Amino acid sequence: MKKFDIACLIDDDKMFTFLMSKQMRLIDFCDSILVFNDGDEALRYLKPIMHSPETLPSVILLDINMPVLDGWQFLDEFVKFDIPKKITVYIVSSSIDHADRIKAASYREVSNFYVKPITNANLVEMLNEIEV
Amino acid sequence: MQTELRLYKNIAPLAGLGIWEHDLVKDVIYWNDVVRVILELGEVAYPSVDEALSYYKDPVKARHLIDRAVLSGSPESADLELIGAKGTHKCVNIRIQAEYSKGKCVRIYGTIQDITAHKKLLKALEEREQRFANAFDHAPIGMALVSLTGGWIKVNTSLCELFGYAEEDFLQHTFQDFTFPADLDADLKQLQQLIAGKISTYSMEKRYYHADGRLIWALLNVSLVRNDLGEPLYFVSQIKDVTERKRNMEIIRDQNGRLLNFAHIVSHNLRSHSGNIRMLTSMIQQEEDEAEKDQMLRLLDDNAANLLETLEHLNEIVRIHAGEEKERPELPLTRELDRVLTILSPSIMASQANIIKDVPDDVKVAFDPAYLESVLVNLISNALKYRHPDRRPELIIRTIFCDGVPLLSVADNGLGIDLKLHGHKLFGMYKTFHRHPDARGMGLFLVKNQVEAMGGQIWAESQPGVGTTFFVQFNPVYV
Repeated sequence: MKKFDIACLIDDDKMFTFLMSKQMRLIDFCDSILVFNDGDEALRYLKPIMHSPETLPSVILLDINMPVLDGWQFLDEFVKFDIPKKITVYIVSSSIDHADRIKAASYREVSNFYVKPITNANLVEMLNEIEV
Repeated sequence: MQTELRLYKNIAPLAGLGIWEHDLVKDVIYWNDVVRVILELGEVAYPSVDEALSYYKDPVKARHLIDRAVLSGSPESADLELIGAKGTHKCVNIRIQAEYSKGKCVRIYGTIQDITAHKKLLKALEEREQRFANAFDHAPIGMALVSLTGGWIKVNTSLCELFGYAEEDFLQHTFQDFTFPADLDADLKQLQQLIAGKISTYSMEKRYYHADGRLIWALLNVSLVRNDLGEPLYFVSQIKDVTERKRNMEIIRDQNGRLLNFAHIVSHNLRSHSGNIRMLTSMIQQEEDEAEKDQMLRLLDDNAANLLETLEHLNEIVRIHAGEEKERPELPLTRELDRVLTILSPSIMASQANIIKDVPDDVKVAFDPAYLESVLVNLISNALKYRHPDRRPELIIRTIFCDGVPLLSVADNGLGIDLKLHGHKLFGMYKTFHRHPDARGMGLFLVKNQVEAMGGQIWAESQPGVGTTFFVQFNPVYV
């Protein structure tokens, strides 16, 4: 089975990130997990290392509603990065607002939109989409 | 060529002109046939004067007319009612002249003409005009006749009441004088189209100034009256007060907006908790290690507690808006502010904040006391909480009057916030912008809801690294 090298979770709900990390380990989703509680934290970490592909995540699970910098604001900065690596971005949100789905579709970098809770099946689906 | 007599004998019936004379000397009466027809008499002998007068509904009046003519010696005329021999009610015009010889009245003569049809027409016309005048004067909506240049020609009672002016005040002004400037152009353009004959009527919603200076929203209907030649004469305007409807629509729009916003908040916040609970339960089911299971059960418990807390927060918002009809006593702002500053004095002292208060003693606001305290506590404690690490906090609390309504500003020299980035969620639920351990994202959300529930508005200006100013526009105190 394919797996991600580094997965990145950006979500201010600490309970959610704890549970997701546990679930990811259980199904062997990735080698390691980076957790950030808001978009700003994530940007501060990713920006300095964006030219060293081996330290960059290959998948980002991004929440929308977060303090300081929310998911959209994170994406607006993130798309300006010149990254030498394919990073798949999934929106993982509690929002069932249709406007959010439409907005997500406007970002080329966003591969899919998941509404919480995330099931094992969702994670497996992400794994199956890894390009060989 | 007919003789004069013949011509006159032929023409009189043609014109429907009854001719008569009474020779007082010989006491002889002469009538032409038209008189017979009017009186509905056959080929009978000429009646006596009294008999002739008896056909009139009011013989005394007829007699007076004769007397007047005899006395004055000049032509006299009157419209009288008579009842024909067959009982038909008629209206006739009588002309009468007395002739004198040697100072003595020798003859009276005159004409009689049936004007029943003409009178009926006049009466119908009069009735129609009366009906229009009644409809105009007593219409429940404002009506006016307006000249081609905009001058008020005639206004009805409803319009006077609507605008708060007396009719005389109207007649000295044009509709342009009363129109809210931004709405004038659209109105004038339509008037031109009406005069040009491109449209036959138009209606629009526009604003006028009431006599007391406030704005009223009205639905205006205008049509143009033209003369027989098609030349424009004047406009007929109907003006209906829709201020109340407009205001209600705004209230409904506001409420719908808040309701939708609330639905999103509920959906989002409940979903994040229930999502976690769902994940936990499915993981508990799969877990075989008892110790791990126990840990997850404890997490489940935490989550249930969080869910309850969120529900309480949401409930608070429902309570605020359910209480929109609650009392709004007039509170002296300085007194309330001083009270709040006393409550907050420990944190003011701890942060060594310098507080400058510039609120006149007589400023009063119509507000629920608990909400006012909440608004002031939140705005002031936020200014202290998000102070700049490099300088002593300074707060300027000030009220100015904006259109007669008190506007409170709370300005700090704190961290500031990038409103371009965060402005749209500044007052959102669970939105926080600084990593402060006490930041819950509830304070400003509650404040905004409380201010709006009291009919006010709140907004902010800020510059990152320089400071933030919050503005609270209170609802005017209606006396």
